[in-house]
Amino acid sequence: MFQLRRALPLLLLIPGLDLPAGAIAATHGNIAVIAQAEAYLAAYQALDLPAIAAAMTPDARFEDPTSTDVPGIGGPFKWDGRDAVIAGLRTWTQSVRRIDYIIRDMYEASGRVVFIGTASALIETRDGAARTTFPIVTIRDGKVIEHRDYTDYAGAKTAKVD
Amino acid sequence: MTRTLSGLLLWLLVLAPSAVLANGDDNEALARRYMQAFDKLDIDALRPLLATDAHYSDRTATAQYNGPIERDGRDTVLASFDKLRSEAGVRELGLQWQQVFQSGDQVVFVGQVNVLAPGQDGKWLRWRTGMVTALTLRERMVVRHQDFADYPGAVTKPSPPPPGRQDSR
Repeated sequence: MFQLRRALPLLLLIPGLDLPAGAIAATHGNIAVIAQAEAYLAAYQALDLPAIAAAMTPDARFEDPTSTDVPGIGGPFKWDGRDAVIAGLRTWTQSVRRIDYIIRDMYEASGRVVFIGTASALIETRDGAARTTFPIVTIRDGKVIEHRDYTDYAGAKTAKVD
Repeated sequence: MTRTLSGLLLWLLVLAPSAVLANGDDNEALARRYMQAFDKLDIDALRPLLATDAHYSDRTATAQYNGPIERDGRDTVLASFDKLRSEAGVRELGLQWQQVFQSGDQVVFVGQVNVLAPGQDGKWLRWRTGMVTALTLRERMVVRHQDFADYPGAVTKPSPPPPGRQDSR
């Protein structure tokens, strides 16, 4: 397991860091923790369940507190333990092709990595696919003991795509 | 499973805005009042908005700032806020939000904090960094306040003193 460490201010970028599409480069914080969080986020966007599982500790948890009282989305999304998280995400893969993040801000402090931006879920429908966009904040710990989402469901916009 | 997924799609395509906004306005208004009082560290204004079993956390706070921070109970939470003013001399948090949204019992604020506080040399300083705050509300009270701040990215700059003050104390 990746050990969480106190944040170390760093001012250098890591050359060649494979950032998710639309992500910004980290300029401070613990670069190693940020890189790990970005790798996890890339797997999460692709709903790559084996990669997600490999990045998580056995007792990892996933929680979207903003999903609790939203009717019709299949929530609340709150899963304790890696197996439960993977089982929960597996239900999404039957309709969601992938989730694309556009990150407008990101930072790390005390092992927490905060992503602020927009997530677009590409969802299968009978008429094709719909892309739903909503602002989202994702907060996670090192490798990965917690994934928290704060999602503006009321601000979601939906558009059909080919 | 199929019904759940169909429900998700129906919600995404048709029902989302009206469904979520139904009971959200009151929570967001209350949360904004709470954050205005928090911004000024106005303990008297905060007290009636906080549940007696309220919890405050800032797990992003680094060791330099005595983090991670966890406070249980209204009196403990308010005492810690009061210390910022009475001991550290903080005049305001200078909260600026670019985005505020509400979903269920959560109200989320995304923006910056611009703390106005005296430096060691008696000059006034602004400590600025990005911050996300998530409030959990129950029965028109704040029961959980979580801050997630960009401590490593904080920038400190000289500032004019607050109105009516030329020195730090």
